[in-house]
Amino acid sequence: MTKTILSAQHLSKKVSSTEDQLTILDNVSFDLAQGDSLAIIGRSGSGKSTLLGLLAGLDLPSSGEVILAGHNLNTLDEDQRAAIRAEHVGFVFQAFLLLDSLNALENVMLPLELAGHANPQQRASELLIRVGLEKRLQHPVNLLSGGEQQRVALARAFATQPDVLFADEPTGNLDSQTGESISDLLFEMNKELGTTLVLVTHDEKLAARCQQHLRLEAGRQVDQTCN
Amino acid sequence: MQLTLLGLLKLASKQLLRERRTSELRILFFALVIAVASSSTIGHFAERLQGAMQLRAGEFLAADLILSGSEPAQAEQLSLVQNARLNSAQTLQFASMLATEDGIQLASVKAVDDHYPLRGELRSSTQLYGEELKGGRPQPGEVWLDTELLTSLALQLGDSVEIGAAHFNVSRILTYEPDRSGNLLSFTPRAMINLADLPATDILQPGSRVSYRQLWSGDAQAIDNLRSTLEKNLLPHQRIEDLEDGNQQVSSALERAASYLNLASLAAILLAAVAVALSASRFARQRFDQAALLRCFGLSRKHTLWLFCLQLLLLALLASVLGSLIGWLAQFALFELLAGLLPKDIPAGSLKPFVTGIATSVVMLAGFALPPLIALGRIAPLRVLRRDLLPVAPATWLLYGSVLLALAALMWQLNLDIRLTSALLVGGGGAAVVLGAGLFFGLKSLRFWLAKRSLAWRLSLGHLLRYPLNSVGQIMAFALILLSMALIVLLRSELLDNWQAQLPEQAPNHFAINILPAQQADFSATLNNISSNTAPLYPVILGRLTKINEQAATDLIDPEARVMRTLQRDLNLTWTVQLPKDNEVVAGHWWSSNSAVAPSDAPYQVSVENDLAKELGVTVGDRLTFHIGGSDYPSQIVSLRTVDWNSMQPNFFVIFNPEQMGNAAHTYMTSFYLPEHAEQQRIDLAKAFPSVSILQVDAVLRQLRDILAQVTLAIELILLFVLAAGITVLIAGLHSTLTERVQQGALIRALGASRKLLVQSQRNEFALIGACSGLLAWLGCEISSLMLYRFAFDLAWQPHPWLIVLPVLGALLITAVGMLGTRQVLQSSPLQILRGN
Repeated sequence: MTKTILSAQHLSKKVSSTEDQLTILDNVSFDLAQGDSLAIIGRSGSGKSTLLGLLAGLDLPSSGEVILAGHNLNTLDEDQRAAIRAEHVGFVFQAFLLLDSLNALENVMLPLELAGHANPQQRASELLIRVGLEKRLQHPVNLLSGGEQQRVALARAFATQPDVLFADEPTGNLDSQTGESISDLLFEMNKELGTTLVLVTHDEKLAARCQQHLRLEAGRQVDQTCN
Repeated sequence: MQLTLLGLLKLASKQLLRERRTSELRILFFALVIAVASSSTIGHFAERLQGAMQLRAGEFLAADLILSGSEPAQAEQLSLVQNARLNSAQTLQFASMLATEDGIQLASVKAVDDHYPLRGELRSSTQLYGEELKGGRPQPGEVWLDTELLTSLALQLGDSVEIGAAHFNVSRILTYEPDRSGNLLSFTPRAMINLADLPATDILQPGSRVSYRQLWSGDAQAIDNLRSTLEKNLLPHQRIEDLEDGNQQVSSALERAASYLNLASLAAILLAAVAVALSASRFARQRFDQAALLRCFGLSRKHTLWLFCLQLLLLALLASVLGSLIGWLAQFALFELLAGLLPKDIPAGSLKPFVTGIATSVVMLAGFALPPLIALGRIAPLRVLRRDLLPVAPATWLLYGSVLLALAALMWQLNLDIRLTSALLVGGGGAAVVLGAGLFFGLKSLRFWLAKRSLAWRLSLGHLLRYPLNSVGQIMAFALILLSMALIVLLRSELLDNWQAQLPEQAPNHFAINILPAQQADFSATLNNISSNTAPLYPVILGRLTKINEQAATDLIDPEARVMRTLQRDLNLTWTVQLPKDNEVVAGHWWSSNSAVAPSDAPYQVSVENDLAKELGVTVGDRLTFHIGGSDYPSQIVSLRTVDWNSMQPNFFVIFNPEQMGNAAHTYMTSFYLPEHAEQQRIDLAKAFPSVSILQVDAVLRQLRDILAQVTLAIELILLFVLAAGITVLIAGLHSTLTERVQQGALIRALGASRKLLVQSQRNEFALIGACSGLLAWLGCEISSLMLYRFAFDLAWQPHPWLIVLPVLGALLITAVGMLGTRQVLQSSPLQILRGN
């Protein structure tokens, strides 16, 4: 039996406004086995990114719990959750979030250096070559195209060989052709490295490539299917 | 993820290297370099200048430190300083009769050893009124006499004169003695002999009244140490004299120069601190995403903060090294420029300015850059998904606490008067809150005005009003810059004017004493012919204060009090109808010429100098008894006066009412001005009135003017630094808002605004910021100058209407710098900017 790497149990997130309480996420539960892929789908404002934030330990739920790599995130403080992220988690964002002040190679090297990797430069170069950017290693990232920037972000996300990769609308800022090549790359690398993938998207085509689907509507889990 | 400190340091240095081209890091680096360079230049320069000036001032004392007493310094005391690398000399002074075959004359005999004087030099001549020779001292068997002794004893050079049991050969005429300048009116004429001849005179017997002086000169630190060692071992009859005692005018000039230089340092550091705060705030804002990413990658809150702090610390160290180097080279250049004016043997500077330069940058960083950096440790990792999440702002107490602590540390380092500076800061802080609130509501009220204005005005004001608190902060920061620069300019010109006013071009440079009543009219008439500035002739009589309110004065005063010396010697007393020039009655009343004649048994009315009265503990109405010419003069204080001791006029501690003193035996004294080339007139005057002693004080004046010239130049050069620092800060300040400006400008241009509209709206905004800053700076400058004049420089304050130029100047300056700094907004393609490139 495959080991569960990520589990959400009765997750809710509520925020208080001056007038009343707003429920952003309501009683979401699922289990994800190591090496599986999950697409969280739904319209804008349905709570997808909030759920992603809770699953990655970037935020805490109002109720319910998240078990990531055997750790109950609710019982950990912010720095302990950061340590879990460092060991088990990678990220890809819609807005790429590369550091303008660094070149492509340095952006990929950063998480490796933080993790105390023995040879960050070699590992980062290999990954950039793997994503097809062998001629862009020393380029400032703000001179790269959108697709190239997301390739750098992918290389950075896989650099530390995370157990779980969280991707928030990874193709959201790209045209359909570029988006498709990025999603190809994402799934290829996911397979190569045996990473568990949690993907937030409203792109049904991209979602279809995942093994599991979790559909949200106004914060509620309305459907969970497996391919 | 557990990174060691070393690991963090490595990562921080890599990040710093990688980000070296980012504008905010460059500005921060530049601001720190400017701060360290200007503060260390001022530090080096002030330290060496202080050394040079003290060297000059030391000439008035013939040494750097003197231990004087009525008995020789004890062997234990001298052994305390044997190890110190100091030069030393010894002198003895006593009153004795000089005798020739034809007459005798009381003289003040000074016996000097072969090292005297340690600072400055003696001047003498080989014929009466002949050319002055510099240097040397009486050799064994020789005596140098001043003109008065030579004239009154009708001696020629080469003649023999007896002092006690020894015979001396009159070898030179003594014309200048450096350590006599501080005591211009020591009336007894001087005879100087070699110390080796003293035993042969057989004059010194147990109980003889002798003043022993042990002189030292050398390294300032060693002198300081010596002073504190001696102070602990001082005997009741001994006192220490240093530059403060050497000459009141020199020390007051030094004091003011030091105050000004320190104030200029504070201004330069404050300006740089504003730049550091602005650029650190931009540095932090630009790194919110980076910090969120690092947190996402698993770096702990503490390590994230440390990573950025270490980056800035490394930056500060680099800036300190470069800034210190620039400061060190700059002071060399300054001294090269001033080579003609300064003494040749300026003492080398210490390493202290280097250390303080580095400490300054670290303290500034901690005080002014840490608060914005703290936000980076508080950033929520969720920001990677929600860009609108901003870090929790640090607590207000932390912000202001760190700034105040940093300021306190800087002030302590600059040795500023804590009370005065705290008053300035608290007053300034209070004024800033009031003015800031006024500005805030003023800006808000502009909304009504805004609705009817042109698009250019609406755009520019819209930018200001979008974040009114930020705008107020920015305007106040610029106001602080303009205020500092204006204040330094203001003080420079008014301080110099004030100093120069104390030493007018034709200030009296000669004193004449021992003018007999019979000579008064002739002497006065002769002086009026040859001099353009003559003080009145004052009657002089010697008297000793013996009783205060019928009790022996010496019983009432603490034996170690300084004023005790006044009681142990004869004072020069005078009487006059008119209150002397530069005197001011501060208590009681001055007698008028037509007041009723006092009954013959009434006490003598006297006016006493205010500081002396304070030291004696007496005031108007108290009774003093003076012993004059063998008789007691019971007196009563009718007024207290302040006296300007710098005025080069005859000044007196005690003045009697002339109605009651007309018959006392007396001589006259006065002071007058003769141009430097009028040597012959001086000789003629001395020949016409041989019994009158004419003392030249040219040397004192010349030295004071030299010091003034050096201080003036130093002030002007330091002013340039403050101005340069101010302009740099201005650029840094505007640059800190560049990102927003570029984005807003790009958006407006993308929406179809013409280049002209954009230029116009930016110009309006900068002009408004500049004018508001100038207005605040004007008000702040008046308030600060009022406090500084009153509490630090003792100057009279008047409003400065010309400061009205500040709003105009602020508008012009900030518009020029702003347009230059933000020309990128107009030059970049709007598309490129909106894409975030």
